[in-house]
Amino acid sequence: MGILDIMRISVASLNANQTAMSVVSHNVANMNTVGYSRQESVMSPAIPREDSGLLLGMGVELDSIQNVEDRFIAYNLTMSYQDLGFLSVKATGLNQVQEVFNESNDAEGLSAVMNDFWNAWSDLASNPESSSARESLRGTANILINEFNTANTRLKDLADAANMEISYIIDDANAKLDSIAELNVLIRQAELAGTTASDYRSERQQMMQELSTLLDYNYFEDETGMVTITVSGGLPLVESETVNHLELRADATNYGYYNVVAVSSGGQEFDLTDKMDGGEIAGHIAVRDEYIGEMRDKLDELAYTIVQEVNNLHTTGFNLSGATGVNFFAPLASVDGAAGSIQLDAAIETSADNIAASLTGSVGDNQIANQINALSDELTMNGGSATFQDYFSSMVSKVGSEAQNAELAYTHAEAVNSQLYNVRESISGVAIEEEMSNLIRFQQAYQAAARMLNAASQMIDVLNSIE
Amino acid sequence: MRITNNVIFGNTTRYISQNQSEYLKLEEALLTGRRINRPSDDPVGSARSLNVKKTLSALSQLERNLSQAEGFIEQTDLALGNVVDRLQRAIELTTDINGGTSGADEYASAATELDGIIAEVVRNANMKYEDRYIFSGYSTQTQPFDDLGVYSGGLSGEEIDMEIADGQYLTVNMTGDYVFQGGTDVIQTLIDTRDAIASGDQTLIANQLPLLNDALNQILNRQAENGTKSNRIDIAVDDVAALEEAATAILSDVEDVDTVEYSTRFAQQEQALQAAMLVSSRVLSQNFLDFLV
Repeated sequence: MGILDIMRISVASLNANQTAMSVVSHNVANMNTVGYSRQESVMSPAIPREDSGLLLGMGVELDSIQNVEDRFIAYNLTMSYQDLGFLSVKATGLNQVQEVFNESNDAEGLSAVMNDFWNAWSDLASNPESSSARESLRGTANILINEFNTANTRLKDLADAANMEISYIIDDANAKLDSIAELNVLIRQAELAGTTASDYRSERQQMMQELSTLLDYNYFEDETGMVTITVSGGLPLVESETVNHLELRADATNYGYYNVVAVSSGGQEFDLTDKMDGGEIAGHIAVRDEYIGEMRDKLDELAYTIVQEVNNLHTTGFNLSGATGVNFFAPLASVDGAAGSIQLDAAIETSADNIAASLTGSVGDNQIANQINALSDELTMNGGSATFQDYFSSMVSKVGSEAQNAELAYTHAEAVNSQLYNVRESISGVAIEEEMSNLIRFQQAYQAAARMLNAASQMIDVLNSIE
Repeated sequence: MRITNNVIFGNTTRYISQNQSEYLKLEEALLTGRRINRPSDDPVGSARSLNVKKTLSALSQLERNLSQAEGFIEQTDLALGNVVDRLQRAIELTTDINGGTSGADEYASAATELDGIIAEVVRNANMKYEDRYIFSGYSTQTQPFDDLGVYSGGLSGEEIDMEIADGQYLTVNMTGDYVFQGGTDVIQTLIDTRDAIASGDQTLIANQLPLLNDALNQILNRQAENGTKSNRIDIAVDDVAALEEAATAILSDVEDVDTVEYSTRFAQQEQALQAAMLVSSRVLSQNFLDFLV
């Protein structure tokens, strides 16, 4: 055991504590880095040396710099972003959809205009000869048509926007898949030597979290430290360094909107469109196909039935020029797209005198006008169980409660997510108080080691001074 | 549990934003005066409000129909009242002349007056309401009677129905053949009377009197029939007003803010928000570094 050993031990201590301080400074620097996991320096006693039957301690060694992380929590947190992404898009989307049918603020919407339309027939019944009642009815019918068209267009615009959004998100998701594959390679290379690639891991976890917001997927890590990302029951998107990208295919049976497919390296395509229930992509698909799709179908059904029922009665009546068999609305070929294509019949467009109010042909006969007005109270919808108004009201109620549920579910998902976030933060987050205490701790150890070195040096001086 | 800076900042902003969103919801309700500002605020209430609005809209239509029907019926009453007057005058004239010792001049002047009465009755039988002949059935643009009392309007059975209550229709018109020719031909009777008086034949004149009385009774009956419709309208008007009041109350119940309740909740929320902000400012300003030299 010599003085040089003391010097060696002191130098090792200086080195170890200096490195520990650099880890502290790295932690502090990344305090606000999203997804960063704090690092810890792990020190242990160096291998002791045997000397004259004594086992002498040889000071400290810095074993490793460790990532402080609970992988189970990290997994749960990462997955919780899928609900959050899905519900956030769904809540925002439904909120916009319900605005199309919002008449709460006394806005003249479809419901109010339908009322005006039926009332106009009643006015005509009071004055079947009057050209002003006819003009007013025709005007009201045009407003009704316009209202249907507008609601239809607004729904279509929202669905189009959701569809565009999907195409942007796919690009983003693909870029993230690429990054994850690249990080896989970096982590494997770094960890071959037996260390932990903490920063790469933090970055990859963060990347997967962001991907979670977009996409419904699952992941697992293999023994080389690389993650495999799978979708829809095992189909891999990232497998070590290989990436199978997501692509879009226009679906002619669904207004030409995009289907989302995963393309394997062999060129095989797997349709994921209806197989995801998390992430923003699935949120936009649900809003586009399920919610807006349903509202468009219902709106079409309503428009179509009004056209059919009014025409059925109208064609049995006589107009002012004595003609019968004239349609009020232009006949529609099918329910599909009715709300967008509803319009007045050309004859009514030409002259309001072609409106048939009379059953017998006499000008003062108002029976058809009365019958058409009475349609508003007849059970014409849902296979004879609802009036037009009932049908529309339940549409509004449905979209309203869907929006309400989505909002509640989002709030809930947010709570779950922030709970998990806090748990992860409490494990992996950087706390200033802790880092500052560590800083002082290592600083003091550093000072003490320097002091040791100083003492050893003085000891050598003492020896050297012996004459 | 380790508490990190991100947890403190994250929690603080989340709590404040939760408070704020609740605060803004209450503010919106108080500013608009409405509980429901979009369907999701109360999905069932929204549907209910739309249904009540439909009811209110239909009721206001019934009001318009009722005033239209009332006008038609009042016009009918006016016309029939005039005819009654004229028939009574005709009966008076005929009675005066009957069995008396009138001279040729008196016969002639009575016949002239009857000509006027006939013209008046025909004029009333051709009465219009808002440009429609009221006694012409569905042929509202065809003058029902010519000067000789020949009827060319729509036949009895041509009923002009107006909706006066939900799904209930009132026939507002009576056809000319039913009113003036159903039983006694009123105008023909007057013409015959005039001819009898002009001829001065006492027997003929005496024969006309019971016919004139029949005619008068017939018109009086029709007028009474028309009068019952007036009653139905009065009742319907009251009903509509009552229903409107009830529907408006329901609508207000569903849609409107209970100001006291909401103001109280608003004040509570405001306090909560202020407390959250105060606490946050204290928590966020705690800094370990301040205590390190």
